[in-house]
Amino acid sequence: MAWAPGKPLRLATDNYIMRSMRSFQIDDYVFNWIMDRELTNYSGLPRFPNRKALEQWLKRFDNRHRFLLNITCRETDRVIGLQKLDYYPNTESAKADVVIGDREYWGRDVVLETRSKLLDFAYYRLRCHKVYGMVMARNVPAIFNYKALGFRCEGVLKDHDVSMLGERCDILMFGLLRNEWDEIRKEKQL
Amino acid sequence: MTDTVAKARQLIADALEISADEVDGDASIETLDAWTSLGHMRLILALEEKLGKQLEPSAIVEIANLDDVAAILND
Repeated sequence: MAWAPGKPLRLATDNYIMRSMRSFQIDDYVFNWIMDRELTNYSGLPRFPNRKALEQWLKRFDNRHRFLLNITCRETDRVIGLQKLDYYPNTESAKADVVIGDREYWGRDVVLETRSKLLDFAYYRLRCHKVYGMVMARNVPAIFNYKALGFRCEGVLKDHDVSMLGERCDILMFGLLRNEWDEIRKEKQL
Repeated sequence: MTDTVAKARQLIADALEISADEVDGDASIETLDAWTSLGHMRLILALEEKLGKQLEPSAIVEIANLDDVAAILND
């Protein structure tokens, strides 16, 4: 992991490469799924009125505390999703988000494979004590993925958020501590 | 095998697009490769359709194996 704070991050798995997202990588294909409100309904992505707003948003990711990584399929060289990590050094915690925009890749364990690598980065490079996620309660795939990686549901925030399509939603809090990830890695021989 | 467990097996098999024979008594997220995030979503939707109501978030979080699905059908 040749990364230094402020420099672009690159993480590789068997099937995918994650790289710090740059605005030139938002081709029409990527732009279309980012703007697809049905697809991103429960993702927690902001609403972007246009491409310029999206490009402005990308500038917030400094590769120091805020990371937005595109997920590129090695086989097709296509950007199929995004992993986001917001790191809070004062509390040694990080919040994770993900969206898989290419429907062809749903149900193919992309999140499990790529998030495992991102968790290694968060715990062992950033030295996070805890990684957590806030999931809209109807985002069943996200719930599945957090559980499959060993995260615990720590609570429910009632009517806490509104989905992209305007549906008021409970938020489920998922969390995982570094020592728990150590154990999971041993168990699963990651 | 109780009727409810048999129904749960079939529901899981349909959602994961596998044979009911592959859903044994220990079937879970851990043991079935076909139990992916997409399969899980199909399973939750099928359960909700069968019950005629949306599942509570806590129930969605708990479902991880055959027994959990059978318990929901029993409620």
